[in-house]
Amino acid sequence: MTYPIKGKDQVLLNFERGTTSWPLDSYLTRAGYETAKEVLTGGKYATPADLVTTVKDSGLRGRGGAGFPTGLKWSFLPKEPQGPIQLVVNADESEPGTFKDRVIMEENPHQLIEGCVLSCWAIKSNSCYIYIRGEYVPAIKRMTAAVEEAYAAGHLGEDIYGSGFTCHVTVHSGAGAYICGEETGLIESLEGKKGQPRIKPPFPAVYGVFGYPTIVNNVESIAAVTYIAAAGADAYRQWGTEKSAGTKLFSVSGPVKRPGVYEVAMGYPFKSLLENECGGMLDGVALKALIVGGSSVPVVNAETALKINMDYESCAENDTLLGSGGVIVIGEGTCMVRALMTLLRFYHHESCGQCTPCREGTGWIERIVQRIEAGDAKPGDIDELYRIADNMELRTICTLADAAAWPTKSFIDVFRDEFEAHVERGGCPYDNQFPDHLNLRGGGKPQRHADPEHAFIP
Amino acid sequence: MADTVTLTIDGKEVTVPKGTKVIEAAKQVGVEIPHFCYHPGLPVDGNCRMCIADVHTWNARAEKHFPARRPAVTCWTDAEENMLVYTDTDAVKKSRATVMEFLLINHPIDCPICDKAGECMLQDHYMSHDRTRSELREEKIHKPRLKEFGERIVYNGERCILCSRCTRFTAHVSKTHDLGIVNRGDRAIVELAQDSSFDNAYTDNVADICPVGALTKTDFRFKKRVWFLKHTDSVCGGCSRNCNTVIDHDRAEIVRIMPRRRDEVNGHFMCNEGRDIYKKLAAAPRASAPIGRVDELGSGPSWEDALAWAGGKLGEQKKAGKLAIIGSPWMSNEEALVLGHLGAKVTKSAWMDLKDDVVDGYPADDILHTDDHNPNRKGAIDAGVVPGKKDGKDLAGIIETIAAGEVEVLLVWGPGLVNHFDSADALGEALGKVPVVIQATAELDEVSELAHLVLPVRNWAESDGTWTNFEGHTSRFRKALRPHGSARDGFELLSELCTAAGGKPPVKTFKDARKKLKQDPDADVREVADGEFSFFKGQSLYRHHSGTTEV
Repeated sequence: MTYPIKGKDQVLLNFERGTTSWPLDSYLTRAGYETAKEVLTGGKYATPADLVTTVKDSGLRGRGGAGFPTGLKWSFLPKEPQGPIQLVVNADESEPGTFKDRVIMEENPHQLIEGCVLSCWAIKSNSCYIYIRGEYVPAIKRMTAAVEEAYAAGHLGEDIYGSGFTCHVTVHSGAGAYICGEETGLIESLEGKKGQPRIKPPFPAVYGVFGYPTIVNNVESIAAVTYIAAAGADAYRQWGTEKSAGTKLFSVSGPVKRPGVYEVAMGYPFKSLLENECGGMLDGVALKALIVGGSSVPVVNAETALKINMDYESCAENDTLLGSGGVIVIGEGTCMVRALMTLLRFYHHESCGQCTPCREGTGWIERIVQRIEAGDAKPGDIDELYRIADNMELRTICTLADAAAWPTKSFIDVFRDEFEAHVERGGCPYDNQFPDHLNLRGGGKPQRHADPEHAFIP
Repeated sequence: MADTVTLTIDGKEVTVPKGTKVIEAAKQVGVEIPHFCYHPGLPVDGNCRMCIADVHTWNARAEKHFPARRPAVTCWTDAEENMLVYTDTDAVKKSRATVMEFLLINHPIDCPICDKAGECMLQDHYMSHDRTRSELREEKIHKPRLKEFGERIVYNGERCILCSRCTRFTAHVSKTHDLGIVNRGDRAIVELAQDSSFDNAYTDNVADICPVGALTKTDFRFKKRVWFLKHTDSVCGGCSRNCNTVIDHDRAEIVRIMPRRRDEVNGHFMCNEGRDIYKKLAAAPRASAPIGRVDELGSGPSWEDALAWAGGKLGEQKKAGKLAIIGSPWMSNEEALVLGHLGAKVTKSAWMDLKDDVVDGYPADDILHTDDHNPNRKGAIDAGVVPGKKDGKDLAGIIETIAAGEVEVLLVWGPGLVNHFDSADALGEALGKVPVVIQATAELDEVSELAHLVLPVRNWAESDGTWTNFEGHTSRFRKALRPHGSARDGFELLSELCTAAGGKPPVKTFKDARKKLKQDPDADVREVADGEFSFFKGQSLYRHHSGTTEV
């Protein structure tokens, strides 16, 4: 059965946007669950290991931000598992600038569910948890409804299609923590504990949810498995580059004419994404900087941005990372110090507090940047900021500290002159400089000291 | 062979059982890796990041060493075959200084008013691994500084480094789940569970294991600076567990008691009852000199006269055979050896048994406390005070014999005989039937009011000796305090009584006694204090407990 491709070669957004694409009926018109039937009952793959090989060959890399080859991750499962294998779908999408998983969950949930069934079959799991961040209420509702539909129609549950294969999907909602998007933080939260990441090794494939071997994959990765299982590895490789195969969703935000979520082939030039899909910058605003994959990746200036192709290799060559695909476009007139301050406020707020460098460091660098932005900088503060961010890296249990350190260092590397301008001027050179009609300037002056919201409330 | 691994740490090879953490393997070759959250008695958490070292694992397929993907925390990393560990490189030193810096930025400079100063791991590690000036130009984060966790423990949130030792303790050791860390990030603090009054028997351990002064004991707050304390190894007498302890004292006064590590006896901890025991000791009524109640002796006989008289009375019983000896389960093994010898050989068999000196105390639990509130029952029996040796008469039988007027001389060791009678009057009535009552005791009680001769003896804090716990492990306590008045050492006193009774003591010296008892040499072992940090490398200015308590 050929997989219907609509419009511009879409693996994930293969439906007409803006229509009621999420109910089961709609999905069935897109050959929904036919692949699952073929795989479970039709012997499309001789063994689950063959499907794992196909996913490996397709070159699919984890779409959550780390870009780890999915098939390779699946192959880390022990040959003799000590307990039932679990699949966990990471729908805790909290990376600033990233809002692409919600589109899959809200507008194409059944493709994710079918992907869960196929992935479970491949890794020999009968149990799948979809952990959705608590703030994503519409997504939780749609996914829950979709799962119910799938059960009712026999696409989930015991002995699906009489194949003998059982797959149970549980939708679980988080409660508002970025750190629960870290795979072991997610696992801890799923187990009912505080979402504080575990030290690795052991990796979840060996010791995961409730101590069982677990694979944690991003929503987009699992949804892509549906296509790959249907069409095969070569079909997926028709797009993308050698090291970055297939298509990817990018959620574009910032002063562009058409912000939103777009699916494009890997390797698509950013320039094209900006000008074609997004319609270019807003009138009167020039491109200043780009955060290409969620706030944790290093920032690049406009010149570099226009050279980047949306794939892992090109980003690495240009001193950044492809990351989650949260494309934050920054326009001229944006104070980069204030932008960094906003980002660091996020990391400070979200640090779980378990280990020393992140717990103390995120608060410290936020307060320094606040002072610089407020014009209260002291000589050496910029270098101090850099030094502290550098010290936070790699010494922690998870990579939240790195995710806070990289933007700090890259903002200083690329836009040091703006930091120095704040120091010399004793204030923000961008105050009162936004064209009013754009309404881009945020409200209020930043606070100089620890935000009362962060203070201890007895 | 398959159960051990051999690795190289700082150029030194060491072989350890599989599953040993690198930080423990390092200790075995004398490499101390600094840490805060790691504690050998608690499950590993790996959150402080201080123990990071340069770890290279051997990849058999590639036939070479690979460095760890992220700097490895040695408290969590299992030692592996052919592993290479470097703890002394510049990178590792920088890592430690970095962690110290992060810990100190929000830490209040409370040292001048903090109990922990002098035994604080933060201070120690700062001096050994950091020593840089603070670069912080912000206001430090403020948290609650005086939260009462029950009546015995006070928490200071600002000093807390969130190592989670205390929460792990209440979860895994006391299993009471009283403490937890709440709030994210640098707003995190330790909180007491809402339904807990933190009054379980093991609360004070959290203050010992706290690496800083965040958790302090109300019993010790502001009492004494730790560098004035002298530390003497001792053993707790609160029950037959015999937790190994350290008596901290200054100028003849016990200031506090802390646990001492002994893996096969008490592990790393002790209960609150044992910590408070020094108060009981100080409150016990004592005599400074022998007390007499017979005309021949007068009310205040000299030691010479008292011993001669007592020896005479005991010696007479060799022929008469109507001597009863009631020993104490608080006697040391060495004292019991001589007392047993006195009863069995010198006086040629006396009725003997032990009494229950103490009958009240903490209930038995499955953590440390046993149901016998006396420390050395097993040891005293094994050393020679064998109940029922003569005529099968144990304590109940002896009391019957007393009531029947058949006992001519009664030798009682220690207080508490009244516990075996319905009332003090009943005790008095019974003793009235005994012509000669001699008591040798550290603490005066009802018998002391009635005895014809009271010989004051040194208590366990004033003596050297050993006790054997209910599982057969022997522990050594050492003299911490000066003797009260002219109180005699129990072992010496009993040896002299043997001589005065016309016989010979079983051994000449205390050392010989221990040989004769065939004691496990481990009784004397002072487990090397993990991380007994020195202010200057290699030389302790002050001896700290940060090592001892962790151990």
